[in-house]
Amino acid sequence: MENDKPLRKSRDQHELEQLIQRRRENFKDKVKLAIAFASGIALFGIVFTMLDRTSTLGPLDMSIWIHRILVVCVYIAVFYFFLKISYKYFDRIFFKYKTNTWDLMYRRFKRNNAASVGLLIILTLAILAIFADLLSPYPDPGNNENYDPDYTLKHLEEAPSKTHILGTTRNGKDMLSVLIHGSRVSLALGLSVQATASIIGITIGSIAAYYSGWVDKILNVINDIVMAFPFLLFIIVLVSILREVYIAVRIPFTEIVLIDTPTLFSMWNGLAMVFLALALLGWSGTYRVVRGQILSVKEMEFVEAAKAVGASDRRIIFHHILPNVISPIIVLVTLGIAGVILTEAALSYLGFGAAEGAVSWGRAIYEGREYATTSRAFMVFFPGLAIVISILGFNSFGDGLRDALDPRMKR
Amino acid sequence: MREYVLKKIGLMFVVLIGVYTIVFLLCIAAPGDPARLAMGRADNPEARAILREKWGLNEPLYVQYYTTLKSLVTLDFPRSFRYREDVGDLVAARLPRTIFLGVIAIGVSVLIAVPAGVVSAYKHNSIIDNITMVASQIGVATPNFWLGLMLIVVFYTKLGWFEIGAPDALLSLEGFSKVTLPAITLGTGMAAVTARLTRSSMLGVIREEYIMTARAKGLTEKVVILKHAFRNALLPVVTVVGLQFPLIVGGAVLTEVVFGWHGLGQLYISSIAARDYPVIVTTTLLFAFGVVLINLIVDLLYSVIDPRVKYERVST
Repeated sequence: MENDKPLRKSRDQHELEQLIQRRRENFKDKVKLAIAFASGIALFGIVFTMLDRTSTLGPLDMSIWIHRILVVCVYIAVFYFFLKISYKYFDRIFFKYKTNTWDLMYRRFKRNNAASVGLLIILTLAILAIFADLLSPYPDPGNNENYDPDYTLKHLEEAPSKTHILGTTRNGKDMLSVLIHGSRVSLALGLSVQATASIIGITIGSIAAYYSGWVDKILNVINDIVMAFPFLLFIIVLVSILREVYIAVRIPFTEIVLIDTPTLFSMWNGLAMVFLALALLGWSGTYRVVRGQILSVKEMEFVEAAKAVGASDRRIIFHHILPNVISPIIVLVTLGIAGVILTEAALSYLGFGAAEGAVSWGRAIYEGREYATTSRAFMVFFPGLAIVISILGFNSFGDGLRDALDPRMKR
Repeated sequence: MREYVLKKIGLMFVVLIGVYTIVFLLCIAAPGDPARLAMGRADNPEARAILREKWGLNEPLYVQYYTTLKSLVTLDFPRSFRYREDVGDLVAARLPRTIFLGVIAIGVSVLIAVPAGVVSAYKHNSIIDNITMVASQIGVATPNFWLGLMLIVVFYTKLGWFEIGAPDALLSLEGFSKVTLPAITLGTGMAAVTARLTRSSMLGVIREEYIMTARAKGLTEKVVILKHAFRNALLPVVTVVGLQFPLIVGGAVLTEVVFGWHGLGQLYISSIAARDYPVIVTTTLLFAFGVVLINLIVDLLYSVIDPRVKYERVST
C-alpha cells in the first residue's frame, strides 16, 4: 500500500489539475469574449461611419436629425445584439462548464481551413473599413474638401506607380484609396440590407408557416410574384423610379417633412436607394427557408406542449420556434452580404446605383469601363478583384458556418 | 397528375397577372413624360398633347390597364413609343439572340459542370476534387459583367481570337465567334453553382445502401455511378438549375450590355431610360413568363427523373 502512493494521484491533486484545466478554458473564453466585443465595436464603427457622413446635406436640415436618430437606433441595436452574444460567454465563464452547441460549433468551424481564410478576409475588410482614414495612402476621395485641382488634374488615369500603387481613376483619385474607402460602402450596405431583409423575411415567413391556410396561400402567391420578377430588372425599375419621384413622409397636420426621396437620394450618394430596393425585395430567400423550417419544427412535441400550457401565439413563435431556425438564417445572412456586394456592383455598373462622386467598388468599375479596351484596363481590373476577394471571403465563411452549425448539411 | 398540372397552370396565370399589375403600377408611378422624352428638342405643348392622346396616356387608369392587358393577351401589341414600331416586331427581332445566348451558355455550363461534379464526388478529396471546388468558389464570386470585361481585354483586345458585338446571322461562323465570350461570361456563374451541387448531391447518394448493393451484385463501376447514383443525384440539380433562371435573366441583361449583344436585356435597359412603357411591360412579362414556365417544366421533370414523385397529394 505504501509503495502505491506516489503512483496514484490523490484526490486533491486530481481536483487541482481539473481546476487548472478550467482556468485555461476560462482564459480562452475571455479571449473569445474580447473578440466578440472587438468585432461588435468594429461592426458598429462601420455602420456609424457610414451613417454619419452628412457632408452632402445642408445645415439646418430636418434630415440631419433623422440621421442622428438613425445612428442612435443602429448603435442600440448593434450593441444589444453583441451584448446578447457576450452574455452567452459570461454565463460560461462564471456559471457552468459544459459542452454546448456553440462550443461544438466553434470546434467544427476551427477545423475548416477555407472558412478560416474567409473569416480572415472578412476581418481584414472590417479593419480596412474602420481605419480607412488611417490606412489609405491619400485622404478620403469621397470628401470634396480633399479635392486639390492642381494635383489631381496632373494625375488623371495614371498607370500603377510608386506614388499611386494601383494607379489613379479617370478623375485623378488614387485607386487604392478609392478601394479602401469603398469597402465601407460595401460592408455597410451588405450588413444593413441583410439585417432589414431578414427581419422582413423572418416575420412574413413565420406568419405564413404558423398560420397555414389562406394566409399562407396569399403570402406564397406574393412570394411567387416576387420570384418570377427577374430580381435585377425589378431593382433597376424600382431604383430608376424612386430616384425621380417625390415621396415625402410628413408628420400629420404639420408641414414638417420627416424624410423625402430627394433627401434619400442625396444620402450616401444614391446608395440609399439601392439599400431600399434591395431590402424591399431581398427577403424572398429568408422567407422560404424560415417557412420550410418552421413547418417542420411546428409539428414537434415541445410546441404542442407549449400550446397545451396555454402560451400565446406570439410567445410560441418567438420563444419556441424561432430559436430553432436561427442557424440557417445566420448562414443566409452571411451569404446574402456577398450577394448584396455583387448586386451593388452590377447596379452601379449599369448606372442605376452609386451616383457621381460616390466612392464604391461598383462605381469604380463603372468609371473605368470605357478604358477596358485600352491599355488602361487595370482601372476595371482592380475594383473587380476587390469584389471577387471579398465575395470569396463571405462565401467561404458562410459555407464553413453552415457546416459548423448543421453537420447534416455537410458537403 | 392532370389536376396538379392544371392547378399549377392556374397559379401561373395568377402570378403573371400579379407581375403585370406591378409593372403597370410602376410605370404609372414613374415620373417623366414619355411624350416629352420622345419629342427631344422639338418639344412643344400641342404636339406633346397629340402624342399623349395617340398613345392613350390621357385615358383613365383602369382603361389603360385593361387595354394594355388585352393587347398582351391577344398578342396584338401596342407600338413602342421610341422606335415607332410594333413591340411584337421589336421583341421578335431580338428574342432569338437572347435565346441563342442563353441556350449556349446553359449548354456549356451543364456540359462542364455536371461531369466535373460527378468526377469530384467520385474522387472525393483528391486533387481533381480540390481544384474543382476552388474553381467553383472563384466562379461564384466573380461578378459576371467584370468577367466579361476581362475576357474582352484578354481575348479581344490582346489576342484577337474572338469577335464581339451583335451578329447578323446567328448560326454562322460569325455568330459562333461572337457568342463565345458572352456565353462563357454567362455560363461561368451557373457552372460553378451546378458543379458544387452535383458534387454534394452525388456524395450524399454514393453513401446510400443501394449503391453498396449494386456493387455487391457485381455491376461495373460505370453502371453503378452513372445509372444508380447519378440518376438519383440529379433531382436537386435540376431544381437548382431551374431556380437559377431568374438570376440567369439578370446575368443575361448585364452580359448583353457589356458585349453590345443586341438582345432583349439591352432593349429593356434602354427602354427604362426612355420611359418606353409598352416595351418595358412586354419584356418584363416575357421574362416572367419564361421564369414561370421553366419552374413548371422543372416541376414536371421531377416525375420523369424520379418515378416515386407522383403528385397525388398536392402541397403548396
